[in-house]
Amino acid sequence: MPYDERMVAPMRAEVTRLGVQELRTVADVDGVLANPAGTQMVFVNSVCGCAAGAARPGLSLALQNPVKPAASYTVFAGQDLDATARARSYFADYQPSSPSVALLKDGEVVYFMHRYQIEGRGPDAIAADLRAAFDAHCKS
Amino acid sequence: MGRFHEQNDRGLLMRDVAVHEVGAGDLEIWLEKQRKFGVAATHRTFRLASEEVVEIRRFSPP
Repeated sequence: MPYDERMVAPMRAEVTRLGVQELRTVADVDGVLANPAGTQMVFVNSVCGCAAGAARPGLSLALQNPVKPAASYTVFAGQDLDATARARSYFADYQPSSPSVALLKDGEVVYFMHRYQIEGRGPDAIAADLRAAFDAHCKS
Repeated sequence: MGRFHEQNDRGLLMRDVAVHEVGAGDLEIWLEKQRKFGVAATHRTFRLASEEVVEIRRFSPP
């Protein structure tokens, strides 16, 4: 059952203020992922304090990297259920977890950060892994 | 493999656990698959008696 939107709104804003486009409907998701071109990052947001509490600041640090995905999107697991399910269908080989980060290049998953790679780690470590993935896959 | 919850005199308690069954193929290959594609949890909660615990290894990166 989704949480009260008043509680979730700051968690959404923490990501969207980075310039990450939020996808709240199936149409939103298909509108950007169905016809992929270049590099696209999808951040699966979550209310989970023990993981998402570090994931969002980690993402913020990572997106300061000179090399980053051409487009960045976010869905909110547990809140926008249909949009999240649809987004996950674009990386269906990977077990659903939240928070998580998928990096796609021309529609193919080239990197995936699972929750187990987030929980228990700090923002700096998370950002370092994301920056390495950006450097490896997002240079034009 | 799963999320460590606690270990006490009742044993080891984990959440969201995937189990590599004996005879289910090479353990290292299985571990690598979990690492890449995520833990394919089949047990929401999993308790192992203390005497059955041989080793607890951290799977996530430091």
